[in-house]
Amino acid sequence: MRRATNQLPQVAFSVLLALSLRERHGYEIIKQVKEDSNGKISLNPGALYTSIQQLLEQEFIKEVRHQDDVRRRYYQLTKLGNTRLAEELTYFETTVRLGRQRQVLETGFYCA
Amino acid sequence: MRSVRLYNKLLKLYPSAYRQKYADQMSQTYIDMLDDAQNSAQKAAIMLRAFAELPFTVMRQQSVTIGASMTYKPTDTAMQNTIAGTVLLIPFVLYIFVHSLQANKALSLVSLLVLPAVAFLLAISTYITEFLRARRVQYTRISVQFGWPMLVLACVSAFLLVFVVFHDSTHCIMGNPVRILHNPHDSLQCIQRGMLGGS
Repeated sequence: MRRATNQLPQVAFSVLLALSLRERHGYEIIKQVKEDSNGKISLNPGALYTSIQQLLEQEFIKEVRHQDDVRRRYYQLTKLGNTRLAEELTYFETTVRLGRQRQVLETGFYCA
Repeated sequence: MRSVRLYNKLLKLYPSAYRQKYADQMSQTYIDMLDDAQNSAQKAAIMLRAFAELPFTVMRQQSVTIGASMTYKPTDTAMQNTIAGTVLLIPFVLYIFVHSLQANKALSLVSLLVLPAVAFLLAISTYITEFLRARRVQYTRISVQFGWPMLVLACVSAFLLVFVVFHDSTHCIMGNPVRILHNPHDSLQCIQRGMLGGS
């Protein structure tokens, strides 16, 4: 199902969530995304950096350099990114609450 | 490792701007993924997924770059120059329709030749400047739609200049409002000659 245009794409949301704990480099983001999604989302470098490019342009994340690891670039959530992530999580929270009210989560189907 | 070398070679398919920013990190991430693999089967799966994904992400990045060049927004200066050039063509239009202006030779020269020539030069120089700027900034492919207002202005002013400069040979067919033939007989002969291609 296609999301509304103002909602984050799945990969972008997953990357922001992965960066919510601490700054990470590319492979760490991939690992965290896989862990957060219980193995359902396996990112590859192409998809990851496409998403990183968009998130950098939107200023949801920023690049940071580590002096002890010059080979890798680390990324960190910005304030704007944090706010955006919080908005997405609020939306999901509301959606889950609705699902529980309609007993969809427990039973797996809609009961009128 | 051979697969890393191959991966690095395939990264060259990405647009150059994207490649400059992210190719080294993509390569490093790929190496990290392989280093973290527990066994050969995992390594093979990583290679397969990474290489299978490449055509799609390359196409996406290439289309984003091409799309960006097609929607390239000219600078404010370029738009102002285009508007200024268009304004310079207004006297030409006025000259055609306001007969009282046609008596003044200096005004004729300025309206019919000088201003359209300036408009043409302005449009062409602005287009070339924008084109060079777009190439320098990022965009590797410039589409025909790029800078179309400037191209339209250049074409219109060039057409007007040619129309006026060659009006002795085109005025009959085009009905040149600049040069009025008062004698109907001359007009008819002129038109016939023009249509038959005679002198």
